[in-house]
Amino acid sequence: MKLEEVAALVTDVLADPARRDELVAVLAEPARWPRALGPSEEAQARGFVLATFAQVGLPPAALSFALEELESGHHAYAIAGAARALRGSSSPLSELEPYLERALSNLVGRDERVSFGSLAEADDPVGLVTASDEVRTTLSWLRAAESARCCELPALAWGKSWLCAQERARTRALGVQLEDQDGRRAGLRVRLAGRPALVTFFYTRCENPRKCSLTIAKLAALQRRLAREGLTGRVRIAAISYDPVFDSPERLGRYAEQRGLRLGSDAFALRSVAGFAELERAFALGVSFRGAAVARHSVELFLLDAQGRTAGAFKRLSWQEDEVLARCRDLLAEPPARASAAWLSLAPPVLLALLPKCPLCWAAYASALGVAGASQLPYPAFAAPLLFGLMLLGVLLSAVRAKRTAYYSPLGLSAVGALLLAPLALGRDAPWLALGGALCSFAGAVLGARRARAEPMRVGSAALTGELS
Amino acid sequence: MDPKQYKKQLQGQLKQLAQQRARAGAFRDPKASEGKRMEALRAMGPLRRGDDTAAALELAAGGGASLTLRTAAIKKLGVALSHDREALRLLLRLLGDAAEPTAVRSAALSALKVASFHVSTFNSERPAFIAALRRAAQSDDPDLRRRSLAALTREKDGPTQKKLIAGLEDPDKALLPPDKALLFLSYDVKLDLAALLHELVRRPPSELARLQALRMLAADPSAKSLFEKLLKNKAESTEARLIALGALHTLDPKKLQSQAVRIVGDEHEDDDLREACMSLVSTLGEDSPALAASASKLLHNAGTASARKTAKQYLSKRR
Repeated sequence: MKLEEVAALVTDVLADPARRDELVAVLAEPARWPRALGPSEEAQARGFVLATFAQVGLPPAALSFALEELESGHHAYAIAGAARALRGSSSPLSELEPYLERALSNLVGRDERVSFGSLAEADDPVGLVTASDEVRTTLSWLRAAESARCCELPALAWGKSWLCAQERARTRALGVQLEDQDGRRAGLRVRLAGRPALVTFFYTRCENPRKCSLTIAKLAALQRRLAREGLTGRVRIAAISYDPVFDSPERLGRYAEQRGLRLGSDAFALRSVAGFAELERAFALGVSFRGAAVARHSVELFLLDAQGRTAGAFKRLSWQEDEVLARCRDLLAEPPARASAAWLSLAPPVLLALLPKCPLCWAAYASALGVAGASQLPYPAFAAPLLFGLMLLGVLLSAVRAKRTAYYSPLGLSAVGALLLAPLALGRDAPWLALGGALCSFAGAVLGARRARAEPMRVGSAALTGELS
Repeated sequence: MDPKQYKKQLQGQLKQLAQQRARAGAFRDPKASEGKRMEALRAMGPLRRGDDTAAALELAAGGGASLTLRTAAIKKLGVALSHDREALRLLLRLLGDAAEPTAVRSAALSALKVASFHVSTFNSERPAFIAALRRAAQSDDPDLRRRSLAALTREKDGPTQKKLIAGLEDPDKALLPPDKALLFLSYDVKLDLAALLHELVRRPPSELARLQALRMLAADPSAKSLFEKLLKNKAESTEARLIALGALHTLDPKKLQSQAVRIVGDEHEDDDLREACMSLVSTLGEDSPALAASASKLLHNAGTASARKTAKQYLSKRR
């Protein structure tokens, strides 16, 4: 979307307020935001959109966007737009006051004159009204409305969601390779396997003290609370960078530690090696980019259960330690997943290893099944090379995995197995080679499957000190 | 010190102060000559008394006073701005008023910049300050315009950034020389200027602008190959190659190491560049026999004393 399109959409919605949800959709999808020149222009566009709700009514779905700007925004125009937006609400709530008071605090040293007649007026405001004037106007409106209110109003969901066990879906980004503060690489699944986890996103170049810096500091406070309750090691913490190009492992480690987060085997500061887009999709991150740099992002914290499924999220608005801690306790109290589910994942590679790939395999099975004298089974001429081809495919897949994980033993075993079985594919009779090849292939498949599940990956050929538990 | 002597000294100082105050009072007298008023303004210390501040405000506001007297009064108001909102608002009005002489607006800007450090008073007037700066940025006087734009870009003012970028894309709209515009835009690291900067490097309006564009690209991974070519190219200016050196240290320090070592040892290279490479690699790079060999060459064939000194320091540490 271009800025002109945003302005045009606002004009359309003002003419037809029933379309106001289209503005909510624009706010909700950072990728649709115009590639504005800088944060200031983007903030102006957001503020202009938000201010529109004052005239067309504020739908409940837009409330969290307005509160987000008030709570953690630092652009005067966007804050002013958010304050105006609240005046479009049909349900003024006393719970909104702290957000407005926080906004006044955020405006200290950043206040500006604002006007909302058109997007162009953002550059050249008409009149003397400032952003803090808008916030105070909304506060007065709220307090006047409260005194007239008589009835209980329904609570609104403000950027939080909590899923019961049946609703959770596996977080698909768990395979994305991430590098931690010590330069060690592993998938998210490997790092977080078997325990509930808190996952947040941040980046070291964030200039808004109420977002990334505060998030990591709060995470550190949460870590200390977990320690006091004897839950150290039972809940893992992962802080992932939005800015993997700039945020080197050293920067990540320094940033986290300066804010009190103790990194180690249960807490990580991470950046994606590749596949950040997958993380973005899986967590539906509220982040937009300008080139390679982060343009804007929301405060986001996710809770994953012990099976790596998203159990809850706090999005856009700041989360309270007590509430997050309570959710962690709930997750810890859940019964563990059945062990059989874990073993089932070994079945496919084992079956593949046992799949007969040569005439002698057929003969071996036939003998085992008591078919006497069946030392040779008839088979189509193409079967042997076909089956050998399948085996080579298995070796190739093993090689791909080894390259990603820098763990080569399964590949070695599979390759040796293939080499030993090669003469048989060419029609030679070599029972010991067949046996050796089958055993090596089988061992390679099992080792690869077990290793992928349970152990960290090694970088290069050097062994790591201090492997992840 | 002897108490009598101390008393005498103190009395002398008090007498001096009283005389100063008497002379300074001349500045409050509208009938006194301009020379006497200027002398009084210079002689007096910071404005502390209400009537002194009021007199300075009156002078600053105009009232027939000369330009010299007005600007002197504005300078004197500097300290008072930290606690006097009336003074602050006057100066904001002067800054934003295109009808006021440039010297007055410029003096007001200087005083306001100092006042901005007193956040408890100044923060509430920030909206008016930004508005006044935006008006001052439209001035025909290049110096006032430049200073106003600098202050606005330090505040990361979006509309100002847009205007500067428009000026870089279309010289007819330029408010500043391109290198200055780029410098001011560099205050906001979040601006996405990569495409514009690459274009300015390819087709620079001036060498200064090109160098500034290179500096701003120094942290951009997409510019890595540009800096590699720059560093290798002996036909490039030393300054551009030094920028490339710094950039590559951020973008690809491992690759830079071998290139820098080669430059250090090459007697046909520029000495300043050789010295910079020597300093960089010896301090932040990896020690190696190749570096030591290159350092020896630098020591023996460098044309500048400082380059030889840098090589000597490294070699003596190595021993």
